[in-house]
Amino acid sequence: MQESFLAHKQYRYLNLGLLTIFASIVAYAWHDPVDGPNGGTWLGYTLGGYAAFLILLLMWFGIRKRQFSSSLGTLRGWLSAHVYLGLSLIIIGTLHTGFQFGWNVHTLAYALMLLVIASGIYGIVVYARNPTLLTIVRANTSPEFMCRQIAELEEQALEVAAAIDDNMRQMVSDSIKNTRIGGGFWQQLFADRQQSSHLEKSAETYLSKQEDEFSLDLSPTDSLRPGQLDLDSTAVYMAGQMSKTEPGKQVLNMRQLMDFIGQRRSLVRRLNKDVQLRARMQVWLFFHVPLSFGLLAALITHVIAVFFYW
Amino acid sequence: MLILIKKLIKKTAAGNVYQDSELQTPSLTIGRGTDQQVFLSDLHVSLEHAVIKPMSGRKFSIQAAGSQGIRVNGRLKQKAVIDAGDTLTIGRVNIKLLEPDSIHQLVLLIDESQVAEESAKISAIISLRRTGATKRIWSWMLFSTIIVMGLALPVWNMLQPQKPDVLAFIEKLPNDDFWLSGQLSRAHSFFGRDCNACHKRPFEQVNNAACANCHDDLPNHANDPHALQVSGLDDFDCTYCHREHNGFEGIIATAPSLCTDCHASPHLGDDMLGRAANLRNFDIDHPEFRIVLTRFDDSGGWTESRLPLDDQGISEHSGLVFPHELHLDPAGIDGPEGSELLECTNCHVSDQAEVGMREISMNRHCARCHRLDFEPAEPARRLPHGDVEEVTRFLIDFYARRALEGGIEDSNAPRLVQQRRRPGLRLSRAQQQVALDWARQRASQVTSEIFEYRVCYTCHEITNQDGWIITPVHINDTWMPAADFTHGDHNDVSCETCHAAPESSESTDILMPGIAVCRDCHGDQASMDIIPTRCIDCHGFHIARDTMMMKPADKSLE
Repeated sequence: MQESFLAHKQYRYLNLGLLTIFASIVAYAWHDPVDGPNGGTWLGYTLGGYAAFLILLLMWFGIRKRQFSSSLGTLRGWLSAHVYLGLSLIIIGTLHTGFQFGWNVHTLAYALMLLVIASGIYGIVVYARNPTLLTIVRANTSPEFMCRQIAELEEQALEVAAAIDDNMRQMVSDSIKNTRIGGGFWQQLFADRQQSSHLEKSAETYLSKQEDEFSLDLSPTDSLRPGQLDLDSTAVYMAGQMSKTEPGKQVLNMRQLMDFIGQRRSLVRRLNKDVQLRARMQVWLFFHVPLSFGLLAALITHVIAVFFYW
Repeated sequence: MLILIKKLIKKTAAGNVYQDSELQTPSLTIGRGTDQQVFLSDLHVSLEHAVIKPMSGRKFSIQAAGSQGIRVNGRLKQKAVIDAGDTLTIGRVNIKLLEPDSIHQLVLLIDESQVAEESAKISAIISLRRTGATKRIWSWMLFSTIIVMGLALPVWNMLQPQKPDVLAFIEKLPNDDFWLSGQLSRAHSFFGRDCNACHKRPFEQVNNAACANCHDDLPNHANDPHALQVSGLDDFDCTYCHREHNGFEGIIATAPSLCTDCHASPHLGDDMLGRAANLRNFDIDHPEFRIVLTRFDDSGGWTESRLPLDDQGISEHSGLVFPHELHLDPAGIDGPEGSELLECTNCHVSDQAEVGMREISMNRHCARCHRLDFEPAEPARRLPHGDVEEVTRFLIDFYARRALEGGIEDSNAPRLVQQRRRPGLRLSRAQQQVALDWARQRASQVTSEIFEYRVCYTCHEITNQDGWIITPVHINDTWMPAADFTHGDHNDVSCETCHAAPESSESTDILMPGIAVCRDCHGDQASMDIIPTRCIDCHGFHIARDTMMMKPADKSLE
């Protein structure tokens, strides 16, 4: 099995991080400056200088990961260092403050640092968890392939529906349009909440069973208006239609249509789950990166301000 | 009406390719049915989807045939009035109404390319990166906001005290308040808005000159060798000890490290710091207290010595005979009105500041019991206190009067002296001589008595070297001049807790408590179970007791 970035080189950077944390805590406990622990003692400067160096190094990761030709360490090593040294900053940065906080640029830098680390921790969690889930959801396909499949199924469903009657075609067309795939920023993040309809529960039951064993409480279709149609209700509607229709070619068409719609539905669900998993793997970076640059600005301000009024 | 239908066939970089067709009809039908005038193959389109009819002027009406409706400029409608410039969406087909030309009343541009683009469009909504969300813009915004508000504006604001008029309406631009690293000390906060009062030049540490602006000629500091006694601090900056931005009282250096920086340094050994070398803490390293002992030496002068309390054979020489044990006897002691119990506070009374004790005086504290009466025949007469010569003369005078008056009840005295005389009766010269001889003899006898075994002798050390000499009395007042001790802070413990007076039978006993007694309650700064004590809780920083900040240094010392 491939070695995870977390275990890179037998936890080299975890050990380095723990070592620096330990050394910092020991030094902090031993150090007894005249005016109490603060960022302006020699230990304060040391911890602060090291923390600032780490922040710059960790931000360099953003550049390094784009330098495909760089031979300065492996990218996995960089990521491992990024994670563990970044986490060690919680302790080192806090000791640098000497627990003196206020409404100033100095504490702003500290707060931003913690926010960056917090978003990073979220990133570690989703990077550790979501790829496995993605593999399960995708089942050897890709989102693009799923899109194409969905589009094909839609075409086929519409064709079959048109062959039944125009009313049915219109219904299928409406329900296709009312189905959400992905969406905007927030819709992607909460894509799994989009499968809502007043027949959600019935649809769940429907999906949990084999399609050919399909037996559902076939509710009358009067309550369904075209604007409200989605795939679940369409499936239920069609099942109702099926029970009413004469046997023959129409029934065949109906079965086929149900098959298409059912396949499409499960594909849409999988695709939406895929979208959500990927969105959640990406979303933290939309906080992590801008906050990092905010932190860089606050760090520059902090250092200059401190020495401006030395 | 004559209609021109332009169907988009191909989109290329060079331009779009259209297929034009003309149609003459009173109303235009649109749908997926083969009988429709505008035939759309998209399966989202109904067989008979919509009908367009001309209205007055250049306007047209459109009516949806089924329930699916038509999107007019993106809005779903069943019927609508449309005009050139509007876009209809039927299914996935866009139909745009172009400006009519001279021949055609209606020009339609039919674009079915969206059907093909559908899958491409879907991919746009299944990736967060393509939603238009951007890290770059937010990064730049946050970065530049913080730099501008936190750094650029404060620096500019500081360098330009006079703002240009255009900015006058902004009451408060971001300034160096944002940089304030901590609360200023109380004394300095009144000019705290003006950072430059101390921070004279950018990127330069605050120097002594900034402090000396106000605190010029500050006594007892690094420039004052008399007060400091060590010259090693000459090169130190004020800020080495006095750290600003540490709260209201932060500027007052209190940390033990202020002292132990030197006093615990292995580099400054015994030869430089003496007994005060290698001091790291109170509970182990601090040496035994040294007390000041003053005694009258044989050569006739006072000698003062500082001796540690653990010194063998150390004793006090007050010149008095005073057994504390006897006076504090729990069974009571004889007083003028019978037996009474004495307490420490009968004699030792706190001074006004509750720092030390008021002076012990014969008149106030001793004389009530020790009344200095010497003649049983006249118990009301008392000796004067304080002067041996005076006492001697007093006794001669006293007995001379008694002898001349006669009536002395002493069988050994001359008859003349024993005889009672009428007032006004004069003695002859010879008789006077006899009486005065007796008086002189009697006075000498009593003088010997009071200096050898009673009255004066009760309390004083007295020697006879060609005359009686009473050892001058010195009741120690300040035993530990280097310690900042107040009795007032220790009111809740009894005197005996520290001073072993009830067991002291000799006046030479030292009743000052050693450091072990203090350590029963006071520990190092890190102590958890006893009172944490810092150096400056007892010691001042190389300073004389009576000097204050801002008081001009005593130039005469230099």
